[in-house]
Amino acid sequence: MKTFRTTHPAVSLLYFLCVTGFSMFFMHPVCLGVSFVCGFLFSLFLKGKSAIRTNLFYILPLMLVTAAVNPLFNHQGITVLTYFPNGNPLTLESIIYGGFAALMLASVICWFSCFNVIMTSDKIVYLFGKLSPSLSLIFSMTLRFVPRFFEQLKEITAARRCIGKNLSEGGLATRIKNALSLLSVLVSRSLENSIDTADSMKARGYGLSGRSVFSLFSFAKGDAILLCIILATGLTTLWGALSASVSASFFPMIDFSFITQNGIITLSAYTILCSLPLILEIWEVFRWNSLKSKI
Amino acid sequence: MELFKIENLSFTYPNEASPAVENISLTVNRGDFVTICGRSGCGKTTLLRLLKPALAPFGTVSGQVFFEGKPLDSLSQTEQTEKIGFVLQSPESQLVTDKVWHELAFGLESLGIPSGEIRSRVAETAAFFGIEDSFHAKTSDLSGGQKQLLNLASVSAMHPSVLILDEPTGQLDPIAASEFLRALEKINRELGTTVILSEHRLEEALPLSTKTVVMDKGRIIACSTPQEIGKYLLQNEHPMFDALPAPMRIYGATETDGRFPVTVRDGRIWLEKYTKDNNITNCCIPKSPDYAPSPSTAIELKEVCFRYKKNSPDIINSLSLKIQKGEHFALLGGNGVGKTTILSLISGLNKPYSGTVLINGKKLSQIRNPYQGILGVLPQNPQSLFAKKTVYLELWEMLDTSNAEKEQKIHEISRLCNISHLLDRHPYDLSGGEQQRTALAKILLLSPEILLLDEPTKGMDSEFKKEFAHIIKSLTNRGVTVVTVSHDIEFCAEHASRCAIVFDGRIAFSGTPREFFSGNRFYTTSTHRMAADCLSDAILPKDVILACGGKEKTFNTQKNAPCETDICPKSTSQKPAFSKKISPTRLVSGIIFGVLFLLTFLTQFGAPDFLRISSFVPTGSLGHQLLTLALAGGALLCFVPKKHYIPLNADLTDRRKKSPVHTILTLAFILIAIPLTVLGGWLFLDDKKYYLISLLVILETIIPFFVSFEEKKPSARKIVLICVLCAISIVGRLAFSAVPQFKPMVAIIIISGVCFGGETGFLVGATTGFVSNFFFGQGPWTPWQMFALGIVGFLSGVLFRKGLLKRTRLALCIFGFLSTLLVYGIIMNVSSLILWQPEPTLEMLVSSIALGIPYDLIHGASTLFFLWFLAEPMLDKLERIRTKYGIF
Repeated sequence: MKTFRTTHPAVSLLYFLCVTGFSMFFMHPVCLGVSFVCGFLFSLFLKGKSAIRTNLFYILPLMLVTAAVNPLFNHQGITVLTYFPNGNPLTLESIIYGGFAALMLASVICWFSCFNVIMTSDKIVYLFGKLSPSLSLIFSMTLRFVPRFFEQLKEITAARRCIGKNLSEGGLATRIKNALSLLSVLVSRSLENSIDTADSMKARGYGLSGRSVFSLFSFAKGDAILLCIILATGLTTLWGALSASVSASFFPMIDFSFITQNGIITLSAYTILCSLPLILEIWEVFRWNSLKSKI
Repeated sequence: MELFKIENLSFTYPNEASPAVENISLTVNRGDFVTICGRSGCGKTTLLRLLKPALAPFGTVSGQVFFEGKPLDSLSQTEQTEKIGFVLQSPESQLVTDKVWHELAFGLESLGIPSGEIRSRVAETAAFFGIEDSFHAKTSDLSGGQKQLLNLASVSAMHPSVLILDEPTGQLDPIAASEFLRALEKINRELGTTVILSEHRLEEALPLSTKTVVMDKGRIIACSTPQEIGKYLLQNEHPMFDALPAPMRIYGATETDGRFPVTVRDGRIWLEKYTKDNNITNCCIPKSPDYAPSPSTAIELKEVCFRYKKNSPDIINSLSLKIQKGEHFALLGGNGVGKTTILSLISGLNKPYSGTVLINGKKLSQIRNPYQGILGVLPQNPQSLFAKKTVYLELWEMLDTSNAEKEQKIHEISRLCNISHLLDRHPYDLSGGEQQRTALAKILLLSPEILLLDEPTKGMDSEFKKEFAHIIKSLTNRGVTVVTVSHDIEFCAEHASRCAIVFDGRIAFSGTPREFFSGNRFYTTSTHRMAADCLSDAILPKDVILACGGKEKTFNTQKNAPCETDICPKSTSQKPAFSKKISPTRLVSGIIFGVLFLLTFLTQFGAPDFLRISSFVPTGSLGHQLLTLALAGGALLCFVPKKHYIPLNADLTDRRKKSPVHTILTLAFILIAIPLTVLGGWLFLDDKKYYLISLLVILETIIPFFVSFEEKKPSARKIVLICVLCAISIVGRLAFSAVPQFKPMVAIIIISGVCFGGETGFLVGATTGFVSNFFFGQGPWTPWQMFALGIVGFLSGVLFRKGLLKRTRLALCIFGFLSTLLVYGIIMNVSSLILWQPEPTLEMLVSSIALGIPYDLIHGASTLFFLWFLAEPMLDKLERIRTKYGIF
């Protein structure tokens, strides 16, 4: 078995598509709760303490705004709590709905923060390479150029500082002028040198027909097993979603249904799907500990 | 067996009178190691490129080149890619991809080799070149030497039968350079791969080579073994003789039989015998005049300590150093010992955490404006200083005085740096040495008292070095203090007045070159290594030569005669003529827009609603205000007078038509797929999952663009250019990320659209949106951002390329402002709403756009600002690249 970091990119991508898609789709409180808890724990697992900080500073304010905006604009629902000055009602349903919308937002952000750790640029470049070689090459080369240009920008800043074109001194106008000429030097340098890159590509046969795509990723047995689990749970959940086994309606009044047989099947499939990475990570820790004891 | 057979090859560049290479006949056998040498601009590069059809320059060719018995042109693309490997000079620009393993596989991918075979080839190549450790590394994390080695490895992975290398060590320090040459030797010896190398560093290349070719003015003047070459150059008093290794030069000046020693080993054996036979000792070396430093101290470092990060080790550890006025002080040492760091401490770019730096007896931190007349710093890469169209403008930029005074100063400095004949040239059309001198001239215009040089001789041939040394000499004579950081032992030994070695964070030893180098055994000049046992005081070839009673041979070339007439401000940029005519159609449409604008504006204040605009857009609402704004913009655009600042050459525009079938398919895809998606969403998802539906719609618009790009099989140059533009706009976003919403990203995308058309504009926009989020974090907003930026790029391309809008600065700026505000801003605001509110209402939509307006206004203003200042220079630069290299 593999952990999620080493899984084949296509499998990881499918997983994230399923999880984020379902997270956005299901407004049922239990589904939202499962998704949020699993997403949050997984991001904690991947990023450690820094995940908590980003969550506090980034997700919380967003959640508050989302939760607050809904009752301001949404006036459906039967339980009227009070009236706004302009005569629109404030309803309990819209407040609760806002709260759930905020939870959905939080879980999507959590899952994407995991996505950013797991789906590193080379995995995405690889996936695109399968679909569109030129595009994936463009991504790969752009990723190569960005750190290089950033280095050059530093060099240029230092060089220009030493001829008195400083970014941190002088009036605002001079500073802006200096910043712009900095950018201008960078543009010249990178454009002129790009011809060398093109020559080097041509020298190595870029443009010949029948280009193949090489990558270090290989599809192992573990990936196949994982893929089967994801497909099984994902399809079950999808079936549940389409047949409305787990539905939640907020307006005109709150109505959650799930204590049906289908509802329970769907929910357990969804729970397995969401907690899959956590299960794998924990399992891997145990396995490693037992392997280590044999060394 | 013959590998290359060149017969009477001549080549002339277009619009040039004389051929770049003329009447070349040369045979290269299998397993040969051919070194081609010659002064800069002698035609080496042209000759080498003619041997690789994919890189052959445009121009008229006559004569024949045979490869393995067949004419070179008859080789298929695949064959020539596989069999002829080519390595260029710049380690940095040659790397294409972001990962080492991908770089190694790049050529094999082009050849269409199956994945499994690539895996084994890449593995064995990495093992052969010893780069297994960095196999998973990012290419940007490698050092210069490692990068060049990777370039060599990735060409070798294709198993070429010949490797052609065009000054591969030009930008490497001597240590990395000799490592590189050793790897090359290994390939040649162990694999039998033929090597054709052009090189300045003959000291190390000559002993490796089986055949040496000397070129001059496009012709081969000698082609033989190194011994024969030495003999020939000596007899003909050719300036290339000065570039030969020290043992050969010494031998040539003392003996006459022509059995030149090429290596230090051979030279040492010969010299020991010679000195014994002729009874020559140390006292025969003529005494150099005693070194008398000036009494006043220019630079003083007192117990200086420095580290880059709080928790990193000290790189400079209580270092003390005194440099007198008018000295040429050289700092030597291995890689990473802190030489450049010392320079940055003196220049004030870095500050020591303890200790003081005194300049002319004053604390550096207390000097106001140290770069105006006190410190001059020449950066390692002179290109860091170039932004203008001509050398003249580069120099002009440096001065703040009256025009007459400027001219006079430029005249003086360009004479000193020997660039008077280059004033009208574009800085990037100059050779490395010329660029270096131009950068030096820029620095000297600030008339510094102290000049700091970082690795100034990198990539210079012997002649340029001599010229450079001459310039420095005349500066020190004027009392300028020069501090050089260098790996170039021979240069420092000959030209510095004092040398110091940096080791373990401090100065291990300092003294005059003779004290310094005659005491060392490893870290010293090749002359001293050769003469250490018999003439222990000798450090320069001339010491040995004079001691042996020979005469130092230097064969001066005629200097490039600077033409005095060039020095006049005729090269200042000429603004294109500005015509103020507005065409009737534009006038009419402008008036219509103007009237509409007035009407919408008035209806806002409850004026009679006779046009019933309110039936489309509710009066006084945000949409109404936006409409007003858009109309105002439209009116302004129409009234902007024509002022093309880019003459659009008809033959430059892309005239290839897309295949109609393809267009129809794309259209059909959009027309059928999008309604189907919306319908499907409405039927199955109850019309509520706006995000999912809109996401699909967006993907359906993005995909056709990408597919059509894929099918067009873009050329290497076009791809690189697109990547450069994307990367610049991402770097812009990163660099300005501290200021919220103020970023040049959209401006650069618009410029790419304007220059290269709608499709490229879309691609640059979409790629920027996607790849920049690798640095800022991907999220559900990524497709929206890609779409919004892509559309802005596409619109700018369509509107400006098809002539719907005139390419004037004002028109561009207004377009930039409006498209940022209306297209990018609205798309992003709408997306964030339907992303975070599963149940959006029209009211929410309006208020989210309204809430977004302040941010979008800042963003729009920043786009306007960047377009106003950047559009013209950037379009100029893109146009130059386009015409110079014939892209598109």
